[in-house]
Amino acid sequence: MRFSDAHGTPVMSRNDAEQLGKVRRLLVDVGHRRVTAVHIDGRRKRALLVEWRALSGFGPDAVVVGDGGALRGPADERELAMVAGDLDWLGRRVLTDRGESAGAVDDVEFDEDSGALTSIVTTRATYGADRLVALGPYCVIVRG
Amino acid sequence: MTLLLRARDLIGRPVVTLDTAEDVAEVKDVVFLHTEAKVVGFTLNKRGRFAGPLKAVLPWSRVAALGRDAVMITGREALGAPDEGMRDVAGDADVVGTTVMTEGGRALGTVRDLVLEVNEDADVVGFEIDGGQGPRLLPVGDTFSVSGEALMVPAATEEFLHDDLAGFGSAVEAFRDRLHRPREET
Repeated sequence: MRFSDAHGTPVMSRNDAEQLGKVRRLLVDVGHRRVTAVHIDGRRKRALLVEWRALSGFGPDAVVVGDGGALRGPADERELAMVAGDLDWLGRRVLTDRGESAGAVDDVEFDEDSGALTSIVTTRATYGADRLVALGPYCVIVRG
Repeated sequence: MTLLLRARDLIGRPVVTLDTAEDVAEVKDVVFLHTEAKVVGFTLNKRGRFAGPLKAVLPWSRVAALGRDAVMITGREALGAPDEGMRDVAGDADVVGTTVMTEGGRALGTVRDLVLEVNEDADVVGFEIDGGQGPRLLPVGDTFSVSGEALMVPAATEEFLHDDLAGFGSAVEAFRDRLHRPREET
């Protein structure tokens, strides 16, 4: 699944079948190249997140939060920057580790079962997630 | 991969950390050592249109990669005091405007820019000069002498003047071969 497809997907609670919100963005651990949490609603310190491992499913029509999946706020500076939109993927400049421009992020593909990132699609090329080096305020860096 | 670029094109290029993907500075000036014809580091400005110079510099030994679009460093700690190779050497601003003089005593023009060849090192392989008929590229040997007044080049340099960066790499090679070849008996 692609980030652009995931954005806006309703997030439901399995417990009471209620909608908790919609996927605003996915939070990524770059080092482990996986989605760690889903930002559902709220801004900055009041942002509401749900852990990836608390999901019972990430489908095309809904993201379902399993029993006992509690919403939480941003845990650290990095997550605060992410929920503030300072580290959003789509449209972000991409550089190679050789200092060459590689366009901008068009989309990010991930495995909806595991949360593992599979590829970074830029306006110029597609990079396997294993080539992801860093995500920061200036750019995304991939191994060139 | 070898890359030819003009030093002036590097000015304003961001210095980006590989660990946090941040633009922590930008290139103010390229610092080179003319006795070895190589880049030894960069002086820096803060990022942003109205930001001033940074006290910290970036020695070449702490550059992870230099590309067309950014100077990559492993982390912010790469910025700091000049290393030994960076002390008491010139910035490219100091050579721009200098007259290029052949050993035969012919002025070929004034220096507009330096041409760098980047691989593991960044070597100064030529100068862009203005001799009245528009910019031309002039190869240099692996060492050159320059003062505030003039840049001295071998007389043979004239034959290797080039119009653009495409093919300039092989012109430099041919020129250096010629310099290192023993003088032919006449």
